[in-house]
Amino acid sequence: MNSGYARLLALLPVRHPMVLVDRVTGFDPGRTIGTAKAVTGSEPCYQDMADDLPAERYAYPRSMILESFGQSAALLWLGSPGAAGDGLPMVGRLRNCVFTGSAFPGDVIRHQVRVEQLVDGGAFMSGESRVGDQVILTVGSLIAVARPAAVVTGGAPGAAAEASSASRHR
Amino acid sequence: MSGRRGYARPLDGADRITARAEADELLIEADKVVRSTDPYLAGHFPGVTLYPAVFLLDGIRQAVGAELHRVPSLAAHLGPGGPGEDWLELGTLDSARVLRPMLEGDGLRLLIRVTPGRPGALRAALDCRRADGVQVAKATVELVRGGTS
Repeated sequence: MNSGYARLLALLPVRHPMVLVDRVTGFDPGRTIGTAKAVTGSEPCYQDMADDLPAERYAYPRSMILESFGQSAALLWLGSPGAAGDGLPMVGRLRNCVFTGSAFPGDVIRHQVRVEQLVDGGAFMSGESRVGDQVILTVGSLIAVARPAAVVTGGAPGAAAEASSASRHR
Repeated sequence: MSGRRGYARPLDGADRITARAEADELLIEADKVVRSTDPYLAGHFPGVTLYPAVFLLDGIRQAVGAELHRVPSLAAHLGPGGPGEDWLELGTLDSARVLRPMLEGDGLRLLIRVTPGRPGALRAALDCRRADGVQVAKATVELVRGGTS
């Protein structure tokens, strides 16, 4: 997979400021992907913070780490043979996820995602997220599913086509 | 200008929270309307606003942190925390399942039951429903005090 940001945007249906993967660092279609996400203090999650907080309070929200991992999983699936088709890739289920550390502005989170099983219209994946050598998140199971854009968007006029356009660009 | 938040969060996970203690449990009802003007939602997705399920998880830790003072035994189970300490983090995610899309204008009600978990952790079970009563997501997480792992 081309590791360029434009290629990444062509695959992911999300856009700024919700694009939480910056680079693909390794890719083996249908098997594994490595990605990087740089945390910066200019992200919206740091707006309106009180003054004089201790450094630990700038921990990047763990929900966002999980979203970043999920987007990495979507890239792996969408770049694999027989992926989501015209459907929108969504996280259907997460199980057995354990946080063991935090990330802060200036850190680079490196995700490693593995395919456990590809099925018709879905993918089972697992993996880890690290900052440096420290594992900060272990994902036991992420089940991605492809849902028709019209179902996901509730049939909003024009929305289904726009929301699914990224999946047609791959 | 001084801000007001004591820890980073993607957005306010609830517009209104009501809570009550029941024995050694904490029961929370947190309401959140999905708005395209909320931080991050302009990009999720372009053309149609879909509330990310991970923001429900952030809503759990925010709401529990804000209401934990109602059940001192639960606060004590978490371990030492200063007065007004409301910063909690996700420790583990046992299971989360998204059943329906959450769209612009949807009124979400997060029903959260908080019980003691393993030492130093609280177990929070989420049942999230739209205003029409349809269940849209469910999850079970463990929460720990911020800065402890």
